[in-house]
Amino acid sequence: MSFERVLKVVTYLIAGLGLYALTLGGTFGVFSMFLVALGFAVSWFAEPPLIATPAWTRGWTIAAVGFFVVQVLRGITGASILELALEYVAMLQVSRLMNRRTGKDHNQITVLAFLHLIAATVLTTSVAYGLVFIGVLIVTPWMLTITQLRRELEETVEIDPVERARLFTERDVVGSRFLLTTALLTLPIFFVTLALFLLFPRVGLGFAAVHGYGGQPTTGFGRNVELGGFGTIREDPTVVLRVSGPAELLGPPGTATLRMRGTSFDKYNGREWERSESNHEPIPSEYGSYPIVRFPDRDRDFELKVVLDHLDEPVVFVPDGAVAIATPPRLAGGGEVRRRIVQSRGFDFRYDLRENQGLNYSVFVSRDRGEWTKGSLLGEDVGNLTQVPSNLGRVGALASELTADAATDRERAERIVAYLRDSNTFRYSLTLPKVEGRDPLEVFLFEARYGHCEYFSTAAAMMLRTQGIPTRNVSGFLGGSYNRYGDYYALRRADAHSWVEAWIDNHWVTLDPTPPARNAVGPARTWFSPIRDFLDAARTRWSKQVVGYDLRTQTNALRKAFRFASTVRNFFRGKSAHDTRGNIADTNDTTSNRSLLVRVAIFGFVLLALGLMVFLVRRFRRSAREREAIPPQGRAAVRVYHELESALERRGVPREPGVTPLEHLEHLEGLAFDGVDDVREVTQAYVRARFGRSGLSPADLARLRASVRRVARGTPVAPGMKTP
Amino acid sequence: MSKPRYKTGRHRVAKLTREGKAFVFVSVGVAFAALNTGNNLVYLMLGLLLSLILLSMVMSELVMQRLEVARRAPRRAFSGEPARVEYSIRNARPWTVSYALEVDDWIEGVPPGRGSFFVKIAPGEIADAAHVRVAPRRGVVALRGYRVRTRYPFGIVEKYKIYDQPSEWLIYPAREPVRHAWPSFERRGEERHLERPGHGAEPGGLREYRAGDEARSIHWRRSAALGDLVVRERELEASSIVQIYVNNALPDGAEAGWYRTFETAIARAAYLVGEASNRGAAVEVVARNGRSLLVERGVPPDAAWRFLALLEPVPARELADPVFRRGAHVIDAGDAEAVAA
Repeated sequence: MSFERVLKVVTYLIAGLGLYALTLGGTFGVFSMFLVALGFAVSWFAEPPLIATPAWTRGWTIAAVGFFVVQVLRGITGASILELALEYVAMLQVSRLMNRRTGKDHNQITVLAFLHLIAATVLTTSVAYGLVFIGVLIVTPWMLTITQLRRELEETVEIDPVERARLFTERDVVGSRFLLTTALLTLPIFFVTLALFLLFPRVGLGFAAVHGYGGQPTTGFGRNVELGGFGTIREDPTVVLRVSGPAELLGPPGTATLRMRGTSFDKYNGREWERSESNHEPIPSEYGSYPIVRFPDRDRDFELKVVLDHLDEPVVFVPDGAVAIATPPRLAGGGEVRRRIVQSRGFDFRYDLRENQGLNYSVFVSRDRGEWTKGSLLGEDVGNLTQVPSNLGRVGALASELTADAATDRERAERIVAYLRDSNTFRYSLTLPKVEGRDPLEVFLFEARYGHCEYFSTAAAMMLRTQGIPTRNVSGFLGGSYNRYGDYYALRRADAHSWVEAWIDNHWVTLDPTPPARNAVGPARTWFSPIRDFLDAARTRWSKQVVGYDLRTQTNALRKAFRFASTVRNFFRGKSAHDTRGNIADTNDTTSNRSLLVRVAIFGFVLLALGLMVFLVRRFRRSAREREAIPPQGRAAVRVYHELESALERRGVPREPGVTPLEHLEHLEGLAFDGVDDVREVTQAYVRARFGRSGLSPADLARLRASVRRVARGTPVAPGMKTP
Repeated sequence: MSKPRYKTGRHRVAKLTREGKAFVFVSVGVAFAALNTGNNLVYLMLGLLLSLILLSMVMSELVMQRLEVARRAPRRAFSGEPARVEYSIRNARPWTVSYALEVDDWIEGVPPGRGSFFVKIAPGEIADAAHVRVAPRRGVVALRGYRVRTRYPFGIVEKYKIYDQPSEWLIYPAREPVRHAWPSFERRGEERHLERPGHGAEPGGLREYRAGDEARSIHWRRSAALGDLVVRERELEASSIVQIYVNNALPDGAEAGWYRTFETAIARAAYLVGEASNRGAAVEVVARNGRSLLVERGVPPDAAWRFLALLEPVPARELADPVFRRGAHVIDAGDAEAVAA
């Protein structure tokens, strides 16, 4: 590609990335997006001489000013300022693209693209931004370098206009080698950016923190949920929750089925479930631990690590057996702000909605099942938990029939669950039964006999309540697919589930009446699934390690770095795992540091070996090229002449670069150099053999070498004589 | 043009370009935003901006490594007239290409201008480029060396590398055309001879052949008799000599106007020197305190121009009246009219 074409492609890449970044976060309207995309595409075809006409430039200047006035008027009439500003900066970029004539215009395009990227930081924290950023990292060196070259060529008056036009239209300057080497600049830029990113002290003052982005919409965790709300999301593969933990609890990778409890509902009005009003009691925390049952104890508990995406409901999901939650304080305004986690009726945990972001937390699960609990009836509104709508008489009759010979609440519950789940009377289906104004539960139980989890859980809850058993309907996630790239279980929106908790024998017991056929429904694994898994792992890492990078992580990383440095130092000093003060260092840390050291050493060795290989290959190729350039009979003469050059250098009369051997000889003759006859003989023999293709016999070579030796033995030339 | 003598540079100077200052300004703004919001993505952008600045400094240094520079200035440069200065750069690095280098003369106290621009110099290659320099005044310009400049790769930092190579560049005076009624300088038999060798028409004697002598001046018969080459010497004719008079006597209490007139006289003299030489005359510049070498016919009049380039005013009381050659055509450069001897 020619210089101009490369510059055009690169310009559109960087401008496109900037504009795309603006659209992240969903603030940009669809219509505006369409117009910007259209302008972007049309500008590709805007070329000189059209864009060089003054009328064209003036027209775009007037358009930019006019659009600004329109945006101001729209702002006065109440349109979102953020959206108006985004539209305007996007329009400016399109205007620049329509007027890309000189290097300066291209510089402005780059600056605007950078501003777009900076603006996008308040719109989104998604991994898409990370991908855009990597794209910019790759394109920026090309863009800045080629633009700079263009500017230099434009401003250099000494270059003939025809020559300048030739440089712009041919591949002389910007060839594949240029593009490759400039692309390699991405690596240092990346590493320096990374280093600076990691090292900048995170002392956010938070005066102007903007978090304008909303969470993922979810169904089932708000104040109420309509019967049938879950079925529509069974096909949605969006990951909302990532859980990792010890194999002791989860089993070998890929085998666990996780049940993560979200919220519960106690009131059912025949159409929808509702949570009754209750106080949100803040859970008292200590060192970032929030006891549900008690403070965590690493000897008694398993720790599950959870990465929760930002949902529109700030629910903290916990598995069965959770005894405590732990999440570090948030860092804001230059200090630590303790997170507020509240518990409300129905064993419901939520974090502060004002944080407007997801939550990374740990859940401690007791090894002792005796400790497993989901609260008690104390504080619960038992009336609500046993409330049954008046029109469910037929349901009550069915329940009574099913539990006629059951002696205990547990037996009653088992009968009802078995009827719904195992009797093959009911079928799991995402298709909603046609209700047509009738009671949906009766239609489900007595006519359609198919439905999804909410129908099953609601039916079970109502049937249990008719038997006087306090029951609540629970929303959460069940399932999880193992992501081998991130070593965690991903729970998707499709894994949203509904089940029942019943108060039996003074405990809340989990009952899941949904047939196992549910597991067969859901997003199928396709060829794309591994890619999706990989992207999700990248997204999780992005969220944890980039978006969530804070002063605490920074301090820990520095501490680890110092520890690693200390291990390296000790390693080379031959010390053991004792620290400098004679204390025994943390064995785990030392072991992991040593293993890291070994890995770094191996990596360094491989890198060194590769570098050496590349060097040798290049050297071999170069010498092969040189060999090809010199006829075989001339090689011996070249060697002798190199010896002569060394001798002359020692005598203080080196051959300067750009001076031919014959010119140098002439120079020495002018100096009346002692030994000039020998130099002449060797030089002439060299020129004859090197360029005249006349060979040298062994006797010739011996004679020439003797000449070189005589030159070498001579006295050095006084410095003043070097100048001819 | 002399043969280039390559030099390697030592001193380095780096400064921000105008775009670089804007870039730093934006970076400071982003840094403030990052500190203020604590938004990691802004920190990421800040890292990118700063890394570009850092890399710009490193890369500009790298492309200037192991460069060997040679300068070729024109032997003849007139004040006020463009002179083409050529530079050669050898990229002595084995692998990496140098881009966007500009070389200019390094004159103490003179800001760099647009020099010779090199778009690309491949590893091991020598590239040549030239630029036009207009010297503002006559005389000796002391060059401290030359400086290589680059804004590569991003135009954020401009880096100079200074090559010490003190030298002098003699700038001839400006040439101000004057109207003059020139006589014919064709050979005339009755002319007086100056009794000194030259390219005149009269034979003066014989001498040994020297390198550079014209073949037509060899006296073949005598050479054959002597067994060695001898040439005929000719004597210069006085009427083919033009003497250009420049009055450099500095009167007491001379003001700026006098100096302007003096420089104008020198500029006119420089023009007349060229014209006379072109018309086939031998030329000599006469001042109150000396005279130039006599430039013979057919010889470039650089000696006369050099004399003019270095001519300085001398206090009038120390000077005698000028002495002109008899029969020579004398022109007073300070006067529009030619002055007869």
